[in-house]
Amino acid sequence: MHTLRILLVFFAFLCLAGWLWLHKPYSPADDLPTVTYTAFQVNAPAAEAGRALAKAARGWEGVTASAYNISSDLLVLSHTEFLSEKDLQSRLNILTTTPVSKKIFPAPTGSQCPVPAAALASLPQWLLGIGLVLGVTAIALSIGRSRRRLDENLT
Amino acid sequence: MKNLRFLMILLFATSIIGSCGEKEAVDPAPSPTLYERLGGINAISAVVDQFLANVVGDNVINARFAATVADPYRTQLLRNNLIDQICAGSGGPCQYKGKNMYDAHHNMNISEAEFNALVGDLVAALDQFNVPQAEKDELLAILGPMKTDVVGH
Repeated sequence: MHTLRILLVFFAFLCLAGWLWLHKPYSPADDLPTVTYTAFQVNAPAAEAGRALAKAARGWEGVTASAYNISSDLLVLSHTEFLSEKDLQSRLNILTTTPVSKKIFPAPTGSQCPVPAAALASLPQWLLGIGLVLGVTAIALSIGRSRRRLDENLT
Repeated sequence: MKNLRFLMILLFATSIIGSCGEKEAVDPAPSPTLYERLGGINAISAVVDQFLANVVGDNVINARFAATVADPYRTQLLRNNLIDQICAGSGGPCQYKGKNMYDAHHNMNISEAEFNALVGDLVAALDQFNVPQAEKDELLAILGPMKTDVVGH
């Protein structure tokens, strides 16, 4: 039991040290709503038509920015979760007679990290959680042991 | 003698009070930081959203951002890093938490044309929000020196 408590305390400290090392300081940008960038091939007959689509989309609730690039014929919308890609596409299709399709960028070549970036980013939170659980367990075991000793002394 | 001492104390007190008032009057109010003049975190966030929308539409450089745009977490990370970088660089209450520019762009072999396209997209975003020329120049002067760490590695 004594060895178990020592191991629990050791790993709790290890986890908390890892959390302290990896966790990132707070920034006001952390409070901003999450946005997604979606690109649409708009097949605009003229640059003005593309710009007009971008201007119209800018007024939609949930769209934080829009840009039309003449040379790529891409309309890019930055939007919150309030609007899905399908919502945007159906709204754009109402505004234009030419077909609007989502632009799929070619998959990047070269080696990629097999672990998703979001999973790596959540590591500090996991370390904090595990460290706290181990620490609390070690404290609970110590309290239990002290109470048992006290009971033995009283009897 | 008593009157003389009283007069001297009065003179001394008056000079101290006078000098305090004078100092307050001379000290100018602190000029607003670039962060404040840009409009704070919400304005910077709006410019960064527009900037990234311009970048994703720009076929000179958008292939470089394809993997980032495809992953919502990485998109958010890039966006927040850009906001933090501009916010911290302009004197705001943020802390840049990303890699340094050299490490972030190492082995990417970014050309000068690509860097210039990126700057062009940023300038277009600033222009769209009618950021005054002085603030624009000041911001570009903060970001400009990063070029040596970004291009050609």
